[in-house]
Amino acid sequence: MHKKTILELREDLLNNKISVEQLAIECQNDLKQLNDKLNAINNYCDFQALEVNDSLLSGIPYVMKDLVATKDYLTTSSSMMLNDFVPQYNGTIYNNLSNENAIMIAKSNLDEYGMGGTNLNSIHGMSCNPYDTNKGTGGSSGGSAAVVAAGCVPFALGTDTGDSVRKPAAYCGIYGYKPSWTVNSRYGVYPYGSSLDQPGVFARCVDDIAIVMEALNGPDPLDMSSLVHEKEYFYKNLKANDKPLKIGYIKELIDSFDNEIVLNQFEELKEFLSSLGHNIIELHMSKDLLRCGRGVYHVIANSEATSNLANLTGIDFGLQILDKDVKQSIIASRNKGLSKYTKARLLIGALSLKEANKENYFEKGKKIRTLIINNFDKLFNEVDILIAPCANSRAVDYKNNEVIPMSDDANIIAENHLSLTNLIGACGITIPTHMVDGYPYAMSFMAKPYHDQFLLNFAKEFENNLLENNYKNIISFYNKYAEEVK
Amino acid sequence: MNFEVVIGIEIHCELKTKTKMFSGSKVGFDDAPNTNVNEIDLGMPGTLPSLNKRAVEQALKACHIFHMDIDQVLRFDRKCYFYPDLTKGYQITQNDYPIGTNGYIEIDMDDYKKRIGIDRVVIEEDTAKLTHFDDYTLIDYNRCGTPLIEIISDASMRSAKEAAKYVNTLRTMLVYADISDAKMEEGSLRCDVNISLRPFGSEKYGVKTEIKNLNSVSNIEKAIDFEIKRQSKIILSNEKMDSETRRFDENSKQTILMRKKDGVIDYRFHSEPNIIPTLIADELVENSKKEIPLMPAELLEKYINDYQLNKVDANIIVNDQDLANYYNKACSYSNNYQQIANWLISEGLAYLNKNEINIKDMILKPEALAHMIELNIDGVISSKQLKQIFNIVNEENNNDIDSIIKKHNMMMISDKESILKFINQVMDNNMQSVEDYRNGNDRAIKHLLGQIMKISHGQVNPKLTNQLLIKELNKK
Repeated sequence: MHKKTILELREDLLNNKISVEQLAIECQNDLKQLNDKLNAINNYCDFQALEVNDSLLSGIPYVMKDLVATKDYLTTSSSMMLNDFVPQYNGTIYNNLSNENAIMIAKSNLDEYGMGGTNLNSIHGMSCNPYDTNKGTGGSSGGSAAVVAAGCVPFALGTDTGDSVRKPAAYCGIYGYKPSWTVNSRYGVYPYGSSLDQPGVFARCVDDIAIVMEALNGPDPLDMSSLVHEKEYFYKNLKANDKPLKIGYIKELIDSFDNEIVLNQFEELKEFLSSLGHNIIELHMSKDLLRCGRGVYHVIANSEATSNLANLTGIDFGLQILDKDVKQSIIASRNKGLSKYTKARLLIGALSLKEANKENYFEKGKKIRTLIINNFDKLFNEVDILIAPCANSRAVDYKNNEVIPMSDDANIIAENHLSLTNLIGACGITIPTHMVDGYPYAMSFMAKPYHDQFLLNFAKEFENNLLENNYKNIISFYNKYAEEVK
Repeated sequence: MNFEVVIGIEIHCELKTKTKMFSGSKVGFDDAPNTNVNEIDLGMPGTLPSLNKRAVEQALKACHIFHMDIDQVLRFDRKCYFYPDLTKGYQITQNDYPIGTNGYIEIDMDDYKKRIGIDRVVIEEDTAKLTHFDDYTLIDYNRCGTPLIEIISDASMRSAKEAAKYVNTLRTMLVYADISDAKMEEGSLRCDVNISLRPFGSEKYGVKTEIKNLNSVSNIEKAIDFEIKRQSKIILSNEKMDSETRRFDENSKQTILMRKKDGVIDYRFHSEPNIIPTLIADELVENSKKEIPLMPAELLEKYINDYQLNKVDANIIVNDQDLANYYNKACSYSNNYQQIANWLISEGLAYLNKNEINIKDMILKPEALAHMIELNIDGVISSKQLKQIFNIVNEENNNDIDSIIKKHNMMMISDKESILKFINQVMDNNMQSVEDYRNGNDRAIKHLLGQIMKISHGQVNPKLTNQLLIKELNKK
């Protein structure tokens, strides 16, 4: 098993310790061997052993979420509707990695169309957590999280509409990065909620996140929204922060957690950051507004989803079930092709947009979104970074139908606050910090929109300090993986 | 009982662009089905729209010629419905923020002029083309994503004639400004007519019928006339008027029910998240204005007021933009406006019609025509020779008028000495006619002139010869 970082693998490739082909085959074999337990892979890809060149990613194998269009490779979205769909076009982020000679070896399991936080919304069933395969990875990018956490590949791509990269990363004990909206092109990424969607990265160290992000990002003529800013060189400009920062937390958000383990971890985090010379600042936001976050997210994401998924009629591509006329055929195709859970979300969206409801749901949702943006703008006037625990609980044991009891606030606010990052278009990283009873826990760090480099530089500082010494129970997860998949 | 007819018209007009509204695939009317299609047009998962700048410029031009207020923040919405001609399951359009609002055009009904308000101009994309057969339907996705503007009038038209004039005026303007081919028969301009009746003096609108997809101006007139009769009959017989969507059947010249409008369709409009609100630069607005040539009404005014053409001639030229372009070009070389118009309307059009040629393909260039006319007026060539030269231009595919005249020896003799030689020779040989003239028989001049033409092979300047001959005759 090549449980190494990108730079370590590059050393091996350059020193001819292993060939590109060998490396990719061995990684693919690891995936195949573990997949019985992880259920993380939808399809393995025939690959070409591209040459190692100046690019740090050349010859490096990776796994792609099966939601990103790849020409001549099945791109199924874990959905019955697209189970046979082979796009004749590429997602820009895939092209960008191919241009670096990175090697896609497989496409990973997910909640269909990114709709879900459990990876249960998949025709293949859930992907499993390498630390305990009874437990879920979270979703929607569950498969990508699992294979990086199991050490099969150094990095994998996911997409994040609410928390679909960051939460699976947290549950699986790896780093998850969600860039500011529009930093990475969305062309060829099957959409869920377009104004929230953003491709992100799973890896096991900050360097690897920065290397991959540097390759991924940049204006794309095929994605108008990406044209508003210039390409950034995240790895080239990666430099551990060495200045004291103002780091804030929203008291009302933290108060909504009810898991003592997590709350203690957060206390340690504050102490640790303080010990690094940073200034920890308590901030406030209306609890009502925080509570609105989940509803606003669902109304906006699912409204956009109703139109984003309206192309799935079976007429010019995808599953086609013929019935007595065109209309009935469309209904039959969608009925069979989309999961019950997806249909429920589309129903929420359609109801939110219905003429009679639109003012009270979709339009109001947009207004509250603006209110949330304005509130965060104010907070970011006072602090550089916002911190919080990722979630109120560890990964859930879906195989035994585990239900983790928690308060309403914990359920509504604490479990869903990561989606606020998407609502305001900001960037966020989740870094695992604790291990309790063999399960990883993680913290969330967020910076304002387009401060991605700043956030990565901070993460680098955070990582460097933990590499030197643990702080109480906070440990370094640098290149950490599940040593044994049970 | 007489009713007031209330008419409003929605027009869909395809914009002249090389590529589609939101994708790089080609726009082409005549191309083989499903050849101008890419994954964006097919609405495949993950594809995104990229706005066609040229289409926005064309829409801006339309806003200028219709005197619209322009919203420089470009915003789009999704109009959602399921239909096989709509690949994405929604159409990208401008529901909340049209690019143009609050405009008008003026129609000239001969007896009176009238302003017809244009409420909205919106940018949107066309759907695929469905061709229905008995038990199957074919889909051509070529049209899918073609740039469109929707032009929505107010309800101020009051007769079929006004409606027809409105569409025709608007169509000519779009063609003049090079915004669209605006060919109704090819579907690049499509009309939906809303029509209702109400008692004169009533403020309230009656129940309206929408007639879909009328494909010619004359069908608009016929359909409206039929609808007026149909609706009057229903109202007068106290039957219930339903709001309906109808189509016009050309054979029976009747409108035929397509569907009842039971309630309004809920299109679940919402903002298009992939096109973030985009500011149109002032420069783009100004530059698009510069592209606009004189509009037909302005050109007509120029011809009548500045060129002193009569309204009939002026209208003939204005109604055909190619003819007008040719005429304008010729007039830029010469100010013999009336003579050039005369030649174009008589000789020119006769030749074009007879040979079924478009004026754009006529061999004779405007500058050559202007030169020919000038030479004729200056007496260098005769009107008869004008015709000969035109034939030679066509035969020899040669626009060098001067060389033709030289080569065919058609230059008129205009120097006095040479002409006097011919006059004296003829007078000497026709003493009787000279005598007749002096005895008061004016007709004798004709005979003498004829003789002069004969011996000079028709090359003497007739006007000058006439003057000189009279002078000579009166001398003795």
